[in-house]
Amino acid sequence: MTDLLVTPFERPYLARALVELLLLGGLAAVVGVFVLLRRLAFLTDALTHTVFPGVVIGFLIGGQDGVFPGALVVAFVAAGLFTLLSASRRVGEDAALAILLTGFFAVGVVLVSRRSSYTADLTTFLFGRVLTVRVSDIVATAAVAVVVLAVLAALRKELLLVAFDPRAAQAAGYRVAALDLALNLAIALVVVAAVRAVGTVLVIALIVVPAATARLLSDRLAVVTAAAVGLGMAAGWIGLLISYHVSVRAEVRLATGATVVLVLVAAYLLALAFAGARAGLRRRAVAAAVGPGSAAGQDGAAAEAAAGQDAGAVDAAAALGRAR
Amino acid sequence: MIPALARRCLPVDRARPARAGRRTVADMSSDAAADRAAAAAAPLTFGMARPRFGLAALSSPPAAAAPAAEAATGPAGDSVSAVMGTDAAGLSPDGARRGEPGGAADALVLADATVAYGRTTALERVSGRVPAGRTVALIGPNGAGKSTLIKAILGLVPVVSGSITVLGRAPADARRDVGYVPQADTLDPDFPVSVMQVVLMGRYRRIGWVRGPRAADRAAAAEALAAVGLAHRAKDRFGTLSGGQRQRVLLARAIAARPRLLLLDEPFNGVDAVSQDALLRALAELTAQGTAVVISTHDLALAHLACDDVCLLNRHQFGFGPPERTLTPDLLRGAPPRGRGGGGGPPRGGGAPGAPPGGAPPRGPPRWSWAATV
Repeated sequence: MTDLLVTPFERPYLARALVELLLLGGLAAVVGVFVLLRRLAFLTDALTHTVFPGVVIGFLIGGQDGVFPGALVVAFVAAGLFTLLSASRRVGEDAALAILLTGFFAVGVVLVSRRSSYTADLTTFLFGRVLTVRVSDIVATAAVAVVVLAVLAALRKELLLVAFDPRAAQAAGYRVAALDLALNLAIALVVVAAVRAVGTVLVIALIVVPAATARLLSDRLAVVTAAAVGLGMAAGWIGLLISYHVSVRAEVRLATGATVVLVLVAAYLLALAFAGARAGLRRRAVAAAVGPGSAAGQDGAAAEAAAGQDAGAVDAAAALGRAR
Repeated sequence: MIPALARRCLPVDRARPARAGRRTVADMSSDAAADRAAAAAAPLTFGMARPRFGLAALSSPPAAAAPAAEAATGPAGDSVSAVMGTDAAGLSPDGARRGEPGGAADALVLADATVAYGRTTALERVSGRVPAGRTVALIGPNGAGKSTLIKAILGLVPVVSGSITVLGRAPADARRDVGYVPQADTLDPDFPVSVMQVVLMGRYRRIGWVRGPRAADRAAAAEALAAVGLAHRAKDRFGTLSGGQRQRVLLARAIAARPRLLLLDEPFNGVDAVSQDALLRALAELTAQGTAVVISTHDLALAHLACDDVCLLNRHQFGFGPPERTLTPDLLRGAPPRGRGGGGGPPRGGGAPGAPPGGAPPRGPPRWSWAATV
């Protein structure tokens, strides 16, 4: 067992990858809880794509060391733009967001396409390469984690209020746009930190999926947060192990970042099934309690149970909607 | 019907012992009074969609209830004239008559306030005052500007002419002492917060940045929750409560902030009788402690029952004063006041004391039938 779960990490590059994935998994999950509450999944998605040209420009100017600052600058600009967009609440906000997203993304692709190693570079930027993570990358991720977690901890009350009841927050004198900007900047920072390990495309899964999964399992915010963090870290660990073992034993190369994301999605589907079954059981219990006394008898109970399952599916669909 | 109504009235009226003669329990439970009320207010029942509140039974007979002084000062115009500067002492005849301190005790003063979103005028020339410990109903059809007025009082929508003074300050500077209760059904029932967490949100401003709630905040929140009769649901998720209970939780959140002026946006929409009772009881307790309350509502019966004054709105103000003078068929039908924006003017006869001299030529407000909107 130890052989399977721990021994691989005696290799330094795997140990570095593990540390990076644990840091990112926990950090992204915490941010993800706020994204879930504020219903910012789409905006987060747009942000991840928008960071892409920053990564490319940074790389073109400064090589590997230019990636982080390049992504950082563009991410902050994008976070500011998106906050402005969402604050104006105009019709067609979605369209504007989509235009920004694809426009920025295309700029990145055009820039990369000018290089001879076009395909390899593109893959790296989009999907990351966690096995080549250096100690300096881990330090940068840790620094980002400290900053983001400090900001979120300091603003947790206010962010909760704005997510739950923005009008009351406004009425109480809070600047909703400023709080939204703080959250968007935190998301942008996580996206930037995750670029090296999982790329700009897959990071959305690290942010959104753990919180959405945890939300299926609990109604209590503290529990949701803890479960999301646990899940985010566990998925990094398990995904890394799976991709390693499959690569070594079956000689099938599995991209680590994508494997981590697949583990997360599998966990989400399991939670979905669990939540659906729980809701179905609950309905069945209610139906059983009500059924025998009624004239409709068994038919009524069966119908109730079926309705319960439908309701479970609806709950699941609603949760999926929240996740998006 | 009558004993039930009397019980419903009890907490509200007990809070205002000074106002003898209006809707007292004795009055309500006396058959003679009820009969007189029914006779006097019968025309008001047209279009009332909520028979359980039988407005006719709730209205006290105007002739018996209104003191002679009221007739002398003229209907509905007095408080407006005070606001508009015709009363140098800052004491309206209204306030003086009721033996309440004027001026400094006003939680809210609307002085010919016009509110606009950009170039679109949402609400024109609203005047009135809400002294501490009193309750005012904002009444009008959908789109009349009730919510806009609440936003303006919160300083979220600019006042383009006239002024709104909240607790002696500009609206935006007074937010810390102003509570706001939104409609519960505008909030996401799936949101993972407990009832206690929601009530604690009312303390956030006092707690300040970074810090978490402390024992004193939890105690205040628990007390506020008890005031709306939901102490036993503190640990439940907000979304598992009924609509009426959620509305009570939101009131508790506002109470926990210890506001001096409380604004409620349609708090009785889709609220069951038990929750309505609990809301009214909690509001009565608040006003007894000196908090001024502004309620926007469609419910004429509730306005009559729970409010000292009524502000009739439909893009502009066409009445402000005690319910028995404002909730009249003429005013509710939107009878043209004297002069544009002379809100609060009498429905007929005599010039409104508050109408600006040399104002725009008389123009009727858009007519609307209450029957079509309630």
